[in-house]
Amino acid sequence: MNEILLYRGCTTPVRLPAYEAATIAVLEKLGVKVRDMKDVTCCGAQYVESISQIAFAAMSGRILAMAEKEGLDILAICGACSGSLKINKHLLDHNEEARSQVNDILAEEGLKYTGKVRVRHLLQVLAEDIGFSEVERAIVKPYKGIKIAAHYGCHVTRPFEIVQVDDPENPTIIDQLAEIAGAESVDYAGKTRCCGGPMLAMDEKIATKIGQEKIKNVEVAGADVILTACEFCDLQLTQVQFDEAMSSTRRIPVMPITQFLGPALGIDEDRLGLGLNRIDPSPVLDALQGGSA
Amino acid sequence: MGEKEQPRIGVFVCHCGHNIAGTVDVERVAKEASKFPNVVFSTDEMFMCADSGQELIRTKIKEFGLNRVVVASCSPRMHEPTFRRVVEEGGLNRYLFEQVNLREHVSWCHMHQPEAATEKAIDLVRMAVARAARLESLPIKTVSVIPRTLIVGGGIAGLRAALDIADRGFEVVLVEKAPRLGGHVIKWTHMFPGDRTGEQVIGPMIERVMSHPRITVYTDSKVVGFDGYIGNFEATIRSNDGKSEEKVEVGAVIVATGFKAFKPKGYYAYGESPNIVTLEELQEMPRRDDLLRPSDGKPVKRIAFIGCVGSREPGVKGHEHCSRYCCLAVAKAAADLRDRVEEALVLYQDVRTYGRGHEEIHRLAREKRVIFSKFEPSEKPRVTVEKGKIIMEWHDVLADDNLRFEPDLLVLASAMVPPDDVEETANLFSLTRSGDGFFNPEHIKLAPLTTHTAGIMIAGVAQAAKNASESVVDASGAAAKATSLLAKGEVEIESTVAHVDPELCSSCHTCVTACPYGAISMDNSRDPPVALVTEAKCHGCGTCAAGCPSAAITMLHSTDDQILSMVEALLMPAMTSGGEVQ
Amino acid sequence: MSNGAARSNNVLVVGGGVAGMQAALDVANQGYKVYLVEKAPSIGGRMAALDKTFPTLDCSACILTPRLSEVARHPNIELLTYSEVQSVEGSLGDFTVRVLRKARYVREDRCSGCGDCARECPVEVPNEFDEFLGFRKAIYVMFPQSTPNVYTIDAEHCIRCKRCERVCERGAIDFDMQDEIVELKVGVVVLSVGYKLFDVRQYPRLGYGHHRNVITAMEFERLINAAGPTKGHLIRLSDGRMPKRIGFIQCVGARDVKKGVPNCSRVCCMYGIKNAVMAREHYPDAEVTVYYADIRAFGKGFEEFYEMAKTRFGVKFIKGRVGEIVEDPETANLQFYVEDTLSGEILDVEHDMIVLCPGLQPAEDLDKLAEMLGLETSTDGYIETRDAFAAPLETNHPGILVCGCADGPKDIPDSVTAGSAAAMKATILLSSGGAK
Repeated sequence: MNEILLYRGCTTPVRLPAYEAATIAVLEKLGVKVRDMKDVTCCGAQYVESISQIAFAAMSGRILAMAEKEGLDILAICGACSGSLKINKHLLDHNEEARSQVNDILAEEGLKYTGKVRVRHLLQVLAEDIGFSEVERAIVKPYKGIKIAAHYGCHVTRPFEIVQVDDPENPTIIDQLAEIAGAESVDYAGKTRCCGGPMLAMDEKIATKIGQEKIKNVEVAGADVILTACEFCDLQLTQVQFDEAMSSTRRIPVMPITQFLGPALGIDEDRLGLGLNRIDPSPVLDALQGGSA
Repeated sequence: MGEKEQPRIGVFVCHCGHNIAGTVDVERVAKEASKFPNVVFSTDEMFMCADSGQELIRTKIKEFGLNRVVVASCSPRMHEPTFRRVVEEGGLNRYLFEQVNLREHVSWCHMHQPEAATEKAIDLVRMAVARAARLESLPIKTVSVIPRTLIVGGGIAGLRAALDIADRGFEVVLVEKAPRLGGHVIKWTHMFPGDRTGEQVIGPMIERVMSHPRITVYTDSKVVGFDGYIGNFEATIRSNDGKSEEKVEVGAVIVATGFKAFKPKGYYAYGESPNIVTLEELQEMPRRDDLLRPSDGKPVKRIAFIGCVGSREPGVKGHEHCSRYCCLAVAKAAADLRDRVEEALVLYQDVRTYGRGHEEIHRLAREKRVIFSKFEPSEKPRVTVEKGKIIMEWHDVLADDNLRFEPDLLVLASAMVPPDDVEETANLFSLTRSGDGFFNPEHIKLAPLTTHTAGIMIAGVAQAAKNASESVVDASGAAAKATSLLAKGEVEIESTVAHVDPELCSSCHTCVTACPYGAISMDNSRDPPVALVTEAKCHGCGTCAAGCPSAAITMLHSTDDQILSMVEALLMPAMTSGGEVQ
Repeated sequence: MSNGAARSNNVLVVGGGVAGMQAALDVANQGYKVYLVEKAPSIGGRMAALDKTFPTLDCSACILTPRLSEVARHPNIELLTYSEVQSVEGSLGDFTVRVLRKARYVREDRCSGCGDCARECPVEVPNEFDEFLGFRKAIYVMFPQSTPNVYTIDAEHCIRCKRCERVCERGAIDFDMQDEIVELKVGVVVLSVGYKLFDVRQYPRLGYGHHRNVITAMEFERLINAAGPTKGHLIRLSDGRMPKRIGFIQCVGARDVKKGVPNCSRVCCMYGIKNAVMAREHYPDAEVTVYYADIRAFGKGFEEFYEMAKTRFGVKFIKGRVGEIVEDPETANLQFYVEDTLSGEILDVEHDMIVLCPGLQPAEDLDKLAEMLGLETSTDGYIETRDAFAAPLETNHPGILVCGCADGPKDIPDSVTAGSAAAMKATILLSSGGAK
């Protein structure tokens, strides 16, 4: 693949722009041109999803149809967006009635869904479209002596039959990428569990507790940094560490996978937005051989 | 092997892995045993039953010229036949072998008293050695086998067994108490797997049986008399109207008397409405596209099933067992009928869809939106009938909710229980019954089709609750057992039987009355008549010998001399060394 | 059907577990000759590795060994152990079977099973019979009552030091032995190839393989077995201590559509309960809990045994699927969350030993065997039988029968029954009508 359409979703541009920047920088370094999608709207995850299946399908369907117009696959970097687009694509591909209903709605804008384009989550693009060996070839400044804990979240890898990203019970893409970059990945209790983020709107206390348990388990496993592939997870695992209950513990840096890969690929730190990380990532960067840039 | 020659006894003490050696000091037992009178060889061994142990016996018999063998190991019920054969292969008569139970009688029951257990073991071995010195060879006898099998019960199991044995080339007599063959299966409309009617499944079998040159069928008849012994039984078959009676001679019997579908009076308002039926009754309803209410013929909109009716009730004799067939039958019926009704509900304790294809049916039923609701056995659903309406109320334990449902048709998955005349059948064929009321197999794991009465097999639900396809496999298995007997043409009988000395017999008839097996009769060819034991029927229980006022009866292999020597050995141990008798 | 001269009245039984042995005995007792082929060095199958059996708690080896003896000494049964079927050609009444007899490097006609060679052998190998928890030598017998009682050299691990050869008083060791192919002529083939246990590693979050005190049910059997690697002492693998809180997890690899095993494995509820009872027998003070979905105690005596496990043995039962199992790095104890669906409570439980109860799957390479013989298998991977009522043991290939777990999971009594039934079918086919 040499070109892909970036669907950045609602949250990343506002709350984690570094993730977007780092992703674009890394993909371009690895030979994939990232094109913008104009006039896109929300994918409908969680909120519309819980009210109306057709409205949800139409919202995601709109994005899919717009990508079809460009004739390019969609890159989703948010787990929820990736999940929504894939689930709705699955629905529209298999359910004629739903498809015709959605196309009726899209017709108003002159759009039509026929199912031509694929939805790729960032991890799929890195692992499959680009491939591990290509990534390995591009590493110029590997890490040394650093342990990472990979957090995949829920929507990226589940439900497997539809999203088809990695093994949901034993995911390894982030781990493999980190190891290629010279780090050591550690297993930890609750690796495949939720970050708690989606619960925030319903019960903040429980959501925070879930996130904090995750942090504790990562600590017990001795990891130095948590790597993510969804900005919701990233934000959640960061903010729970600022909660009162965790004020006495040393904070563990949280970084999206592309932010982590960037320096190892020789990309300038500024282009990766590392200065914006709420938890200082310099202990991680210090582990780069040859020092941080 | 002369009984008059000096006994040369070999003692083999088994460790049985940890089972005996864990408590009993087996090496010490073997060492002590070497000092007992007439013992010329004594050792301990890890597993006497293994090939190595058996080989040990054979080699030592040769090496030491043993003419008696004592093995101190597990219960004779485990390996006595094995060791007897080994001893025979070593050139000795099998009755010159004695087994001591150091496992069930010592190590397993005195696990916390190893010293005392070891002393007891030594005592037991000393007793066995004393007895062994007095054992005598007994002749090995065989009886011929009549090449015909009696099959009691013309349901699917009986039919299958009959066909197998007849196809194999032997004659069969099939007796069925109902006016027609086919048991329960013939009445049912849906079988699993596949979806044929019972008639479609069993019809061809009935046809083949009726036309088979080697099968004689008696319907509307029962076996009213049964006598004889393995290979030589005589059965009296009488028609239910009493008008005809015949005797047949057979070599083997297969009891396939099936079950009765429990009519659950007192459960869930059964009997208070024609719309409350058992699963069996549902199965017997003729196939039709719409499901109609028995009460008024209106279409059923809501159907409910309740599982475990009369099954799995701890403490209720005869109703403690799981009836095995019902969970799948309910799931299938619910899945099938779901298309014809608006709501289908299954109340269950556990869903036991265990067999091939069963879980898939369970899943299918759920996918079709059959509601499965779990109740706890301590809080069974309440069913009442009010003005013709069936009202079900129960606590769904998974939802923790009290629910209510008013079905048009309520189906109770009621138990499989033995037929009303099961006790009669048991007595007739000397079969014992287990807690579930069905017949006891010889061994529940490794001998599920044979019984403790040699030559009599059980198959199908007569053995335990099961479904039709499982009964068929049972039947073929039992047929194989019967055929083994018939094909061999003759069978060995135990020589450990009672023997009457005609010179001492006073014709008092005490033994004839005492014998529980009817094995003694009077030999009228002598004057006065004397008691005569039919050895093949004798079980060697000793009741006759105990009762005989003239001491005319000897129990072979359990003579007074042999038994008293054991008592002496226990109470007055002779302390000689080296094995020669004083 | 081929011409009369080519007909064979022999039967080939493939697989020497309980079903195969029963089939062989019932055929042989009718006077026909049986070749019993078994790929392991000894017959006995799975039962030989079990400790106690349900629902009677009989010692498995105790009730099995008389069978082994019976099979071994039967004049009509020829045992071909350490052997595998390579091909089957021909048709009913006239099959030609090629069997690979693997070289054991020990002469069956000379070895007496004395064990001097094993005592001398310097090579220790993880013992597969003990689920790799213990060791055996490179020259070994599978278990004490192995039948035939002949040692076998594991060529893969033997270093050819030949110390065994020097110490063998009967000259039974023969390093020049070669694999050989023998050709058998049979009339009927009975497949009783058994099953394989689900690989519990397919549930990575249950921790098997890295949590030291998470074991499988088979490992549990070997630990409580007096002839096993710990002489029957149930201990934790992490530190050798006695467990005090043991959890059994049912349905690991059964009734799970996602893992490709949608069917029920039939025997696991009962073996799980049996093992739980055994755990209480070993440690009357231990807390023993079984985590289940449904309890399928359907056979004769099963429900009564389940009841006894609850009342007399005090085994606790919780209906709920367990979550991820987490190991405490210091104590090696295990924690997980589980919903007790009957009370609605979410429990946070800790155990010091967890036993995963795997489901049954078709035997290793059953698909290859089926292909070789032209047999249909169904979606669950087991051999398809012709008709559940009219021909429950017959396959689509006339003359080839199945019994035991080859056509679906079964417990010992049902396997033994099927073995007898297969024997009946086999002898009917052979005799085709005439009395023998």
